[in-house]
Amino acid sequence: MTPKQLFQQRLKREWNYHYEVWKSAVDWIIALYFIVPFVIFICYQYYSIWTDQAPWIEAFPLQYTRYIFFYICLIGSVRLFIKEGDLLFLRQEKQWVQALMRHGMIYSMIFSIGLILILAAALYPLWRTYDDTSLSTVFTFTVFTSLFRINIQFIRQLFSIWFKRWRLYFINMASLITFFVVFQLFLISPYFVQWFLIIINGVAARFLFNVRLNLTWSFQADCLREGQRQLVLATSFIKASGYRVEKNFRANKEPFILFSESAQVFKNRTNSNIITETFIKFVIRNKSKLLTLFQLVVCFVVGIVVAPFWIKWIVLLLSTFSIIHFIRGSWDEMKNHLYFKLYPNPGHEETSYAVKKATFILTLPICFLFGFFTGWSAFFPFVWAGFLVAVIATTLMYFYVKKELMV
Amino acid sequence: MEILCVDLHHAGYSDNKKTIKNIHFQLQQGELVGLIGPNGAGKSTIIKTILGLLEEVDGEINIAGNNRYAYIPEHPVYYEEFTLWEHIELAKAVNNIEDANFYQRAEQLISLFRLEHVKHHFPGSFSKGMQQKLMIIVAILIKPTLYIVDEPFIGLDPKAIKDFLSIIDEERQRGAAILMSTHVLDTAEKICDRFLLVNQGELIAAGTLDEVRAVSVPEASLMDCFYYFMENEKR
Repeated sequence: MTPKQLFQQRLKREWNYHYEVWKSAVDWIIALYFIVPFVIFICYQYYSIWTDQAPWIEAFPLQYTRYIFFYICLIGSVRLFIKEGDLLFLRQEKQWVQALMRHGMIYSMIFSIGLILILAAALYPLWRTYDDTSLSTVFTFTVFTSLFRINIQFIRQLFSIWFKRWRLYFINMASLITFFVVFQLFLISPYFVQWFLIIINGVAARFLFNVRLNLTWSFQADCLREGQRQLVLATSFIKASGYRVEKNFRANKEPFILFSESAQVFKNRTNSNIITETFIKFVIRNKSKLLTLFQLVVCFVVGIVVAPFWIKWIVLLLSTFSIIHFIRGSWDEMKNHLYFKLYPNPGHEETSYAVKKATFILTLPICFLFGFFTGWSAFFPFVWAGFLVAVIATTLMYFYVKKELMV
Repeated sequence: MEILCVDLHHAGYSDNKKTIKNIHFQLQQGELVGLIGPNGAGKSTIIKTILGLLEEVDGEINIAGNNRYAYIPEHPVYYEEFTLWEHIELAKAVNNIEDANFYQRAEQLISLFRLEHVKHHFPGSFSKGMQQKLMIIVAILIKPTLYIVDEPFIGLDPKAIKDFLSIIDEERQRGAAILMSTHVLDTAEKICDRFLLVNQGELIAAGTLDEVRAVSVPEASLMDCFYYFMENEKR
C-alpha cells in the first residue's frame, strides 16, 4: 500500500460515514415531505432568477451576497487525514505521515476551491442579471476567495497550535478583524490591486502549506482535531436533536473570566447556596449554552419590537417562558451527568429551592430586558414605560418560578 | 453487621442476554472484598447492577444503613464546567453533608494527594491519575457506609496508592465496607479479607485466600490460584 492509497481509503471511508449519518438522520419520510419539496422550490426559484422572472429579487440586498463568501472562508478546517493509530504504525515513517498530510492538505484546497466555485455558480445569475457584474469580475472574485479561504484555514489552524487560552482568543479576534479588512480591501480595490492581492494570497498559500507540512510535533492535537472534523456532521445532528455533546478539545486549565479561583457567589456556604451557585456556574461557563441563550434573546427581542401592539404581550409571555424552561432544562442536564450518579441522591427540599433560586437569578436580567423592550416599543418613545413593564414582568416571573416551576 | 447483600439470579443489558448469573454474596461492616476476574468476566456488570444502572435485573440488592454509598469508577467522571474545589463543594451539597469539619478534611485530602496547585483548575486539564485522585477525595469526603471501587490503582503514582490504601484502612476501621474490583492481584492479596472470583458471568470461587487455596492450589499466591481457575475453565 502507498500513502496515496491509504489516503484514498480514509477519504472514501469518511464520505461513506457521512452518507450513513445522512441516511440515518434523513429517512424517506423526511426526504419525501421536506427535502424533495424544498429542493424543487429552490430549483424553481433558481430557474426564475435565470429567466428574470423573480420579482422578489428587487428587494434582495445584492451587495451583501459577497459576504456569504467571507463567512464560508471562516468555516471549515485544513484536513490531514491522520489517526491516533498512526502513532503506533506510521509515526516512525516520516515520509508516510508527511505524504498523508500533503494529500489531506491538497484535498482541503481542492475542496475549498470547489465550494467557492459552486457558490459563485449559484450566485452568478443574480450578479449577472441584476447587478451587471461581468464574468471577469466574478472570475477574479472566485480566484481571490478560493485562495483566501485556503489561507484563512491554514492560519487559523496554525494559531490554534501555537497559541493557547486567552492568547488564542485575542489572536483569533485580531485575525478575524484583519481578514475582514483584507476582504473589504479587495472588494473596493481597482482591478490591478485585486490581482496583486491574489498573487500575495497565492504566495502565502504556498508558504503556509510548507509550514503546516513540516509542523509534525502537534500530532496528537492534530489527531484530536481530525476526529472532531470527521464527526462534525454526526455531532450537528446529535446537537440538533437536543443531546449535549461533550467537548473536550484542549480544555482550559482554569476559569478564564467567570469566577476564577473557584470564587464564591454566596458567602454563606449552605448546601442550598452551593447548589444554586454551581448551577449558575454550570450555565454561564458553558459556551454553547450561552450562545444559544444569546441567540434566543436576540430573536425574542426582535420579535417583541416588530410585533403589533397586542401581539407584543403574547411574545413577551412566550419568550419569558421559553427562557425559564431553557434554563430549567439545564438543571436536568446537570443532574443527569455521570458525576451526579456516583452517589445516591435522594433529593431533598433544599435542592428544589436552590434550583428555583438559580433559575430566577439567571432569568432575571433576560426577563427584565424583554419587559423593557415590550414596554418601550409599545408606548414609544416613553422609556419609563419600558422600566415599568420590566419591573412587572420580573415580579410575575419571580412568582411563577417560586410557586409553579417543577423541579 | 451486613452492609451489602447481593442476591442475583441474573442481570444483563437486554432481557435475552444474561451477562451475569447466580451471583450471591454479602459484605460485612469493615470488610474489604476483592472482585477478581479476567477481562469481560462480568465484574463491571456486577458493579453496575449494585449501582442500579442495569435495566434487566432479576434479584435483590440491599444496602444497609443510611444507604449512602460512594462509587469510584475506573474512568473518572467530572463536569467540564467546575473546578476541582467546586466538584468537592457540589458533592457536599447534593449529599446534604452538614459536617463542620468538611472543608478542613477536604483541604487535608487535597494536600495529601498533592493537588493544592490545581485546586481551582478544571479537572479536564488534569492527567488521568490526578482525575482519579479527585474521584477518591470526593468519595472519602462523603463518608459512605459502602465503597464500590473499580480499578482504583490505574493511573495513580506509588505514593498516592500507598496513601489511598492507608485511607481505605481507616475507613474500614470506621465501619465502611469496600467492594474493590481490581487486576492488581499482588496488592489485592495483601489487603483484601475475602475474594470473589468471577468468570463468564458466574461466581467461580469465593472466600478468604485460604478458602480459595483449598479449592485450587494449596500454599499458592492469589495470582497462581487465579491462573489455576482460568486454566481449568479452558479445559
